[in-house]
Amino acid sequence: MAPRIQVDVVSAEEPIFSGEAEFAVFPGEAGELGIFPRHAPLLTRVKPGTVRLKIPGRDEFELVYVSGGILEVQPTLVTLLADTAIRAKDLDEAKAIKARQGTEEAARSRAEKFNIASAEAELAQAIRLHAKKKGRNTHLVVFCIASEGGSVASISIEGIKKEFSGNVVLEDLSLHIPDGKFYTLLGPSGCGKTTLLRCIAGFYEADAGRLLFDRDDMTHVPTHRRDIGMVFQDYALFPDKTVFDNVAYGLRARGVVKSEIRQRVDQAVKSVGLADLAERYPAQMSGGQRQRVALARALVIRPRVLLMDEPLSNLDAKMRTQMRDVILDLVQEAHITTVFVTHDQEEALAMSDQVAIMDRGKIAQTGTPEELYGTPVNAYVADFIGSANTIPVDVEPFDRSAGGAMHYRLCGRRLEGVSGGARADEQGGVLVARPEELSLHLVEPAVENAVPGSVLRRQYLGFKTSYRVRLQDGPEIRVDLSGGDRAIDPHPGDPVQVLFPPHSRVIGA
Amino acid sequence: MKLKLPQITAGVLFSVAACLAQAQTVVLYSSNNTETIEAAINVTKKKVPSLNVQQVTGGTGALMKRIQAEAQNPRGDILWSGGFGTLGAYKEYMEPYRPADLAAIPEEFRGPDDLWVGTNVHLMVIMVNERQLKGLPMPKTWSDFMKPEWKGKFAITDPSKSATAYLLVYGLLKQFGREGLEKIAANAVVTSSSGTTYKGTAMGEYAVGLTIEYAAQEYVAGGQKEIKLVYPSEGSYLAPEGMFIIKGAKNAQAARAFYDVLMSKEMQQELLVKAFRRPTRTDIQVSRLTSLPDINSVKIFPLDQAAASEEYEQLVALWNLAVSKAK
Amino acid sequence: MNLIKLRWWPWGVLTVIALVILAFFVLYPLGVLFSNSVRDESGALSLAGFALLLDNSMFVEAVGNTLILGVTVTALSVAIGVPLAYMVARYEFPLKNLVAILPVVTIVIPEVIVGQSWLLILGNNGLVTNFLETLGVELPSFYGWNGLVFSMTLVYYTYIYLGVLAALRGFDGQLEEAGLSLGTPPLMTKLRVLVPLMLPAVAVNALVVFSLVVGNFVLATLLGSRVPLLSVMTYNEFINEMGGSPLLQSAMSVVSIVIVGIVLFVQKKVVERKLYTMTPGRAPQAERVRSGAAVLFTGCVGFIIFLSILPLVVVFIAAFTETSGPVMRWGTWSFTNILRIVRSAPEPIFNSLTFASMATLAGVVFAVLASYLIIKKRSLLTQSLDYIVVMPLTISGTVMGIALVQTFNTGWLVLAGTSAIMVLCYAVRRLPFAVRNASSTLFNIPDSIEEASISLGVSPLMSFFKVVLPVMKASIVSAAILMWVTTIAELAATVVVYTGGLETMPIAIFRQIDGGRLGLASAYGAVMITVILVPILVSIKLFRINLFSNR
Repeated sequence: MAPRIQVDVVSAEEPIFSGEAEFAVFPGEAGELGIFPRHAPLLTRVKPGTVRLKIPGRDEFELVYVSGGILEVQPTLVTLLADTAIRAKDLDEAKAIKARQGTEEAARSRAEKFNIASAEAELAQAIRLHAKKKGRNTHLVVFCIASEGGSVASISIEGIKKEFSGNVVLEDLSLHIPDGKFYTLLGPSGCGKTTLLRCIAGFYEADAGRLLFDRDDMTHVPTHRRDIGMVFQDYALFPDKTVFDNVAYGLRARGVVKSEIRQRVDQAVKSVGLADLAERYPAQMSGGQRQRVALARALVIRPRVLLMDEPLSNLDAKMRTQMRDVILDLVQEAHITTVFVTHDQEEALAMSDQVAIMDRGKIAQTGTPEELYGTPVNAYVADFIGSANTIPVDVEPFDRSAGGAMHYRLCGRRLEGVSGGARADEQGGVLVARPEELSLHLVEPAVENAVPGSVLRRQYLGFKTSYRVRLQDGPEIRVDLSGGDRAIDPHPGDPVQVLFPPHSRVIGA
Repeated sequence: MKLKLPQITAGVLFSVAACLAQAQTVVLYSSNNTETIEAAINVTKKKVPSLNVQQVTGGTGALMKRIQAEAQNPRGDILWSGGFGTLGAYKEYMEPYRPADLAAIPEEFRGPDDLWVGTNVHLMVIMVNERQLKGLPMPKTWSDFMKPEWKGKFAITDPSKSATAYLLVYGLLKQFGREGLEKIAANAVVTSSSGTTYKGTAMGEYAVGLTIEYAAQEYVAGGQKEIKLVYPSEGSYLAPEGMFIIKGAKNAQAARAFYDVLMSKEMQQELLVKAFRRPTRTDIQVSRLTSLPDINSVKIFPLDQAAASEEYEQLVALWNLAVSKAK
Repeated sequence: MNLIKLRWWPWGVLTVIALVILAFFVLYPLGVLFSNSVRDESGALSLAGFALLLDNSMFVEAVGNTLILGVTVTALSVAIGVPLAYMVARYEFPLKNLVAILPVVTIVIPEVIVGQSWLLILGNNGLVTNFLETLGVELPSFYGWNGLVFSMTLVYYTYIYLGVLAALRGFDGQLEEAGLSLGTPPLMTKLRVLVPLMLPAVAVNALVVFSLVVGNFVLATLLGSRVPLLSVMTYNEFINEMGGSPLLQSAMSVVSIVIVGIVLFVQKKVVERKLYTMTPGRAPQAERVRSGAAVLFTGCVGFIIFLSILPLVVVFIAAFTETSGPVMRWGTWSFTNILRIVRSAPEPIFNSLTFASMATLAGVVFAVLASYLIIKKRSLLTQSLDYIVVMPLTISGTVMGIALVQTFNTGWLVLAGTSAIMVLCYAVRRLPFAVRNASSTLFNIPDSIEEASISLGVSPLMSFFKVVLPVMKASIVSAAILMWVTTIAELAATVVVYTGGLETMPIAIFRQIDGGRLGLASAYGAVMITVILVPILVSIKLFRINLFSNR
């Protein structure tokens, strides 16, 4: 027998139901509990707000009912129910009951494919039918409870296409963003990164393809049901509301109890370092402060994913670096999947777990910052991340099985290098030489793996000096020598040798 | 005797009921101006205190059309006032009523079959603005305006736009024939409303306006010294106006009470003094109450009112022809 | 811009509903009007109406006069407005701040009051006229061309003034500096640089003034006297044809629409092509002006402000002046006029308040919705919404009233004789103001705050109510006040449409003036101005709302 528990349900101070309820318990992700109402009117009569559940032998406790049966529960409740109801035996019983309730099960499994809201509706419908058939008055009180920190989702983008008035911005784009990671979409303006972000958010509906949060198909779900948090480039704070009201906005929309709102907002505002400014208006705050409020507002609702659209672009340089830390701290503490859009490669490198570089609607390369910096697959990526000299060279045939070591010809010299990227071949390759990896030497004595040239310009930058060098019979390149690590300090007009380290990568053209 | 609450309540209720039973509303459709209606209501309050008059104002033409439109479900009770010619065309919307005091009204100012009765009679006069004469001689009669020196100097209202103007033009036709009328038409500035004529003359726009006595008198009585009233020596024309009870009126009893009040001696006297409306009653001496002459001391050229309204189409056409010829 | 793929709920549905409502109350009556103009007595298609008009010499004269009047008034308005704007934009002098009330004045003082007041002052029996006569100076008659040109110029110059002022303020002073640095002397620079750039601003507003003059009914009727004018003729024809075939009135109305249409066309094609976009820059600082010139400037500006405000003052004086019938006894004071209208004939006051309230309420709601759709949910449908909303601005009140009467006097929906048709007149004619006002704020509300709200879990419809509306608050109030003020003063359309019992204050004023009762007319005028001014003063003082940031 499923545990029968005396339950009084009080909603908005109005007693809704009092009696014995069967608790069927379904294990969900990460400690989720599911309890389903057999008496469907119960579900519709419960107003968003506080619902009190009395379980005999235990103290009365509160659930917060939002809508469609999705609730958020305070930490105490989870623990409470956890140690009363969930024992293996009961779980089996629950599953057995589930098996009997064919229609409900079917609805539930169908519901797993859809988003939560429609699942509730389907379920409610199935239960109504079931109750009619059985004609009984037993009640199962159902609340889907999301426990703390369990709802963070991964994002799967499958073959997304998006066009505007004939202009195709995203074409057949696929990407997987693992849950809990800080994932950056990087690229110049016009590459489609913001479009992609807005597709994930739901402001744009994809013309083709699928979008999934974990296993939930979100492709046709409207934005306000996706359970996302979003931070905008212009902060988008509500100008007529105080900081407190801004942050509380999402919680209020979800019907969270006042006392809990107060507690969570205070905590959120404190966590972004604005504890004393809760009663201020956005107009009275600086850009950095506003962005913190925006962050707090997005995170306090504990969304499944956090989306950030160039949030630091409107801030001045100093503030930008400061905010990077603020964001990372908050995001890591919440363990939330974050999608971050920026055109600033330095930002991307500094903050991300993973980066996807986009080029005109397509993904050029994905990987960790180290991978993108160290092993760019093509000139576009190489040039975008960090700075690089990209020099076309002739590739000598080489044995691919020999671990990538190869030779190439540059300005008449034969140099040793490493093959990177799949397409470097006899057709020609591109040498990717980062300025800081090159070094300059006097013309005598001759050095291995070097090319002669002459210095065109010298720029002293304190921690490094940047030289513009013209290779003999070749292109102009940049060479950066750091302060202490220099053999020479040539000036414009001086002849030099440029040393290309043997691990320099040659990639496909 | 001590009055207890139940008795007091009963008493109050009874009086209220009594009052309600007595208080009657009558809906008046009228083309008269604010002050005239106000004067009428004041007299009514004294004579029949329980009568409550609700007014709807507008031009006579518009009001008649409204009565016509509302024929199935009349919302007005009484119309006051319309020129006899106009009234003639709307006989089917009238409820006949013979007031007790009818004897005081001469035959010529009564409507046929008790359908309406005259409440006042307009007299067409020559209104002169002396300051604008500028060398022209003071006009004495209609024929003066056929002279060439009067070209463009005097105003006359388009007969199709005003009942009184119509009678004036009709009278001129009957008195001077087609030729005479055409001469006048050639010289006249034709205005589109009676108001424009007399206001224009008062404001100095025209030296002379051929218009209604009461309108001119208002300026004289108001103290505009340059305005003079001239009664044409060849004879003036009368334009009686009347009232009628609307057929199917909802407050028929109140309407009849109001009808009686409107034609009473007090009323016509008050309207004479306040608004210079010549009474239709024979028992009021105009010269005693105002500076206006008695009707029998003014030369009148008699007109057949019934014929006048029948010949409407022809006259208007004739006039339009005369005016266009003059251009 | 998304042509067709507007999400159907909620905005798509609302767009369609708004379009249907507008089409029904604006396009349909215009259609009926056009249709009536090309039918003859039997109902068959024919241009007989237009033929009759062309034949009628008075009509042709009226059209000619109207055009001449338009050009004259426009020219004079430019002659006053441009220098005034230049003075205000570029110089500092005493009294300059008073100039800020000019836009208030144009909006607040109804035309019927302006006409009446100038009659009271400069009419043949007017205050100043009489005074000057005692000095032996005889003024020419105010009726006719003199009065028309004088009063219309005083009413319409503000359009030019405001337009040029805005252009001068947005002018990048560096352009002039560039000119100077290239070696041209200051005056030459001004002429060569400023004038070509200001020309479009002047031209656009001049065309607006021209169409307003062409469509003007109130001043034309009050002061026109013997001068045949298009709008007056149309109105008179309407009165004539009441109950009969509406052929001529429709034909005349169509002619009126065509004239304004041509003007608008010229504006769109010729003038707006030449509108230069300037990167907003810093306008040159206003120069302090030395004593001699200061007197001149202050004098000019002061004089113009004085003339603009005079009608207000005169109306109040006249309202409390004793009258004897139609004669004003200046110098003797009395409450009789006010008491008379309040006791014996207060209906116009109640009617005005009721109709204006209803129209304002409906209008503001519709305006907020429409402006949101137009600015934020751009699509082919919403752009049509924009065009239709603005259409009544180009159609004179008389014509609009005639169209409404023809459409709703008979047939399946009879509104004639009900308050509904009065409210409709108001709403249709004044909606464009409210929409423009609401739209200007919406431009400045970034899309991102709506998106933020949606991302936080609030549906798009609720986001509109919770986030957009609160930010629009100030503009909603000012749109409401604008509508209130302009509907109370509306006359040209309602005077066509009204029937007994539905008179509003302007109509009462009109009728009293017609009956020669200037005292009573002024009493209504005083009440009307009070009713108009109070909300404005309250909003400015109490709520600090800036009503005139974007006219």
